[in-house]
Amino acid sequence: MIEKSAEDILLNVQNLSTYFFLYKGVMKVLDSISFDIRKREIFGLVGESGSGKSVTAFSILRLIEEPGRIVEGKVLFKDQDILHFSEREMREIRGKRIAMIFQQAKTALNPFMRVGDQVERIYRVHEKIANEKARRRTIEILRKVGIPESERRARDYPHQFSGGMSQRVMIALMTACNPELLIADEPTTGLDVTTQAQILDLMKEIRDRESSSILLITHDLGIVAQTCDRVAVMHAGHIVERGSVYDIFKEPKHPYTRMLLESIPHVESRLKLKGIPGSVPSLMDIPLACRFSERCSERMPLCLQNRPPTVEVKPGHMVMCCLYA
Amino acid sequence: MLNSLLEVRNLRKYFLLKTGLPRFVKTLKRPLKSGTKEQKIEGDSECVHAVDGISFEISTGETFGLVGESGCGKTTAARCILRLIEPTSGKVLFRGIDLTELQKNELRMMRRHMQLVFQDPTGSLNPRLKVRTLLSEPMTNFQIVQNSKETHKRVVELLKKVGLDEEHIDKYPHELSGGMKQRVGIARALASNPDLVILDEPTSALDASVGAKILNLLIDLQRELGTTYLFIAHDLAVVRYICNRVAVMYLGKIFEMAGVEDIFSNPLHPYTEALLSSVPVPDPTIRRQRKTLRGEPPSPIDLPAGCRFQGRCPRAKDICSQAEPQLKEVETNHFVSCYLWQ
Amino acid sequence: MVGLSIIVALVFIGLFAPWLSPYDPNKTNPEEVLQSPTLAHPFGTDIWGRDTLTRIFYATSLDLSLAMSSVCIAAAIGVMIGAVLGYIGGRLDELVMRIVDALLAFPSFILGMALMVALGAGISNLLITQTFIRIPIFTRTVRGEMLSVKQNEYAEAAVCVGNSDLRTIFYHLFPNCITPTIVLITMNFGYAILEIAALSFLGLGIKPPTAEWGLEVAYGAPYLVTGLWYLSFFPGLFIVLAVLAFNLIGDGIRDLLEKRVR
Repeated sequence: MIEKSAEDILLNVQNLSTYFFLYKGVMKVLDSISFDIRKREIFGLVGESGSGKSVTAFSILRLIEEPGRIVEGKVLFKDQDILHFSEREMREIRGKRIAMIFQQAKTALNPFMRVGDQVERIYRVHEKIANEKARRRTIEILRKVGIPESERRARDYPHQFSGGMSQRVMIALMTACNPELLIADEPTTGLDVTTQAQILDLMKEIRDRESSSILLITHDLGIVAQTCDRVAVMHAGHIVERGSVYDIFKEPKHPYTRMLLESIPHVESRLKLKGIPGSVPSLMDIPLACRFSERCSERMPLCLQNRPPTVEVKPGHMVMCCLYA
Repeated sequence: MLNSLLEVRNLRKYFLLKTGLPRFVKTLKRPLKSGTKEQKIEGDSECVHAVDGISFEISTGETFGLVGESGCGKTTAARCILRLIEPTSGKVLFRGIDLTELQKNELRMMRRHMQLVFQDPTGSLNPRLKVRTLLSEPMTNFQIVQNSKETHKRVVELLKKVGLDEEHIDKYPHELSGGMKQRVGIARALASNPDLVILDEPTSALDASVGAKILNLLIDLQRELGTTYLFIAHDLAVVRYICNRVAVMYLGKIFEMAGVEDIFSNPLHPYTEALLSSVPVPDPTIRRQRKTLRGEPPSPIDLPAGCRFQGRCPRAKDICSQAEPQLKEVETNHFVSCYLWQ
Repeated sequence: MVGLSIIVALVFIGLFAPWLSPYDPNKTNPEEVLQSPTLAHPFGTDIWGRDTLTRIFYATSLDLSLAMSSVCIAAAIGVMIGAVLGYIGGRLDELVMRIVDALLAFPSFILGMALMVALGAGISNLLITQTFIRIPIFTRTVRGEMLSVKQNEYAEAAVCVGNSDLRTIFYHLFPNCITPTIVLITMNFGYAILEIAALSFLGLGIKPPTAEWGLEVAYGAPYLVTGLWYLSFFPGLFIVLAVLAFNLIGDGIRDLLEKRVR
């Protein structure tokens, strides 16, 4: 489809592994995951609970704390490996060039500060502009994210905003400096479906209007299908399949992807659902093997021996599975 | 209706706010359109109209879905039907008996016929009790069993029925996965052989793969036991999968009620249309034209006069701001509360 | 652990006082009045020639049992009232909580003093008043826990499966409300000892000639100026040790519970 040129790639994650070192053992939460995000695209990272999606985001932003540690890999942000940046250099990146929005907006906002003040502060600190200019930029960005009467609302406190509105405020805060990459970790969980649709539309606007890329982390395949351009499917710390949104949904290759798609009810039809047997394996001291093999109906002896190879079954469509080796 | 197991008539639940709160809550209000009036009940205190006069019937053996977004009142309605919260007014007829009129002890005994499966599998199981106790409690409370041997036998049967091994009987909730806990919750609800089981978003807290298995389990159980389900959900896809009939709620009122296929293929109320078009379909080739809703829902305290959807409705007319429409049958078995159809 | 061993030691002393000390605590002995600590009388003698050590040892069982029983009874009563009020709520809850608030507004010692003045000194009155003034704190604490525990869905579930209110409260919710109570009880043991001693010191508690730590301190008070430190010191020491011990135990239990929660 799109020709992948080096300039097109904004973020290139290569063999990223993050382990948590606990008393009981080592939890290999992320095991050598690789993916890349291009400019001006919405990239979906989808997986069920415990798959490691949030840890991926925190690893990229170097927000992993003891007992967790990034043990190997590269995170190339525009060809610079930010895993080796100093803390000071990371501070320049966070919020300014890579920003992150979280699930519960209300808990992420300072309840004691007026919303407008919180946004203004970003401008003052990161872009070093003075009061009047900062104020104007604040009102502008609040308007851009779809908050009506933004001048008046800038004087309100977070608790005076509804769920959807406070999520917009968080988006305003995080896009104030026009980051090149916006990481959105389950940004619509807990919101009504109508509000969710509005927020997702806003994300698409951000991609188009500001030319930002978005890493959209979610468990909801519906959101992924309707919002994302390309997708990576995660299971137990592995990226099992990666490709365009069409590839993943219409031509899923990995057994997990296939079974997952058959487990979600559609609002359009009433096909019989199938679940996935078993559950996500414990990541404590997990051996090097396919982490889905226990639950897989097409398991082969090869699957238990080593990490399955990642195969490119079509240009841009990768699967990590012994079936395609 | 001959086969009607549960009949809800004009159920209302208002939560009174004490005087300190209204001032604080006023700051939560969105800008209101003109023509708003405060709904006051009982003197000067304001109240939240969580459930504002809903009526419906459920026939024996069917799965009736109550759908709506957060704050629409569906969870409160379910609690009122079981009288876990006392309704402000209205009637709840279960097998012809008015639950709202029962004395405390009669109500307690009545509970064996109507049970509840909770949304949060972790929060709804007492962490200090073993599975064995959790399941045997309803049996002993309602005097369904005579001795401990019988209890044990029935608990094991129950576990098997929901797909759990006998070995789980002496486990504590924290030793079980989310899906297994929810199965225990379902088993507990079925322990007293109820005629009606209310399911409050039973799969919302579970992963998709686990939830699918639970939904299938519920369907199988219904086929086997003939239980009637009142299924509360916000996820329309799940509702389509499991329900026979559906009622769509908004801010305490039922906007539309019909058979499941009917409502999904032929939604009449603008809210239902918008709701359906907002659900993201897990198929990238299907990109529906979304019917956007403007703004946000009004506060359930300061409701506008007339239809409570007017501020956001793309097809609002003058009459909509004058009086609230009533729920009327406009096609066979298809009820709508909207002036577009009256 | 240190606390526990101190208490164990004290209990031991209290139980075996008659065997540990050779003297009769009440027998006066005019020849040996106001003696400094010697081998024969390790803690000295008081104005009536009675061996201080013996009196202190005998006082141990009295002080400990008085303090512990008043706190335990108060806890038992307060906790039940708190649990029921927290669950039921309503006007009864409001009424009782206002009373509790009023009682808690008084420093417990002042309240204790006032009550003992009204009722008169003596061991039974002391027990009653000490118990009474400790009930409110347990009520308030458990009621607070109950208010939050009852929000849990399993509380609703308990009603759903046909439990009566009483059973829901005491079988399901109660065990989850009492964790702060345990620490509160041990801390209160310390406070109780202090208050009993202080009341007795002021003459409002135990009546002489019964031996009691506070009383012993009182006896020795006038002589401090003249340099006879030992009369007040040793009973005071025991008071300090007991209170310290209970506080240490309380801290230890709290740490243990917190570890479990984590």
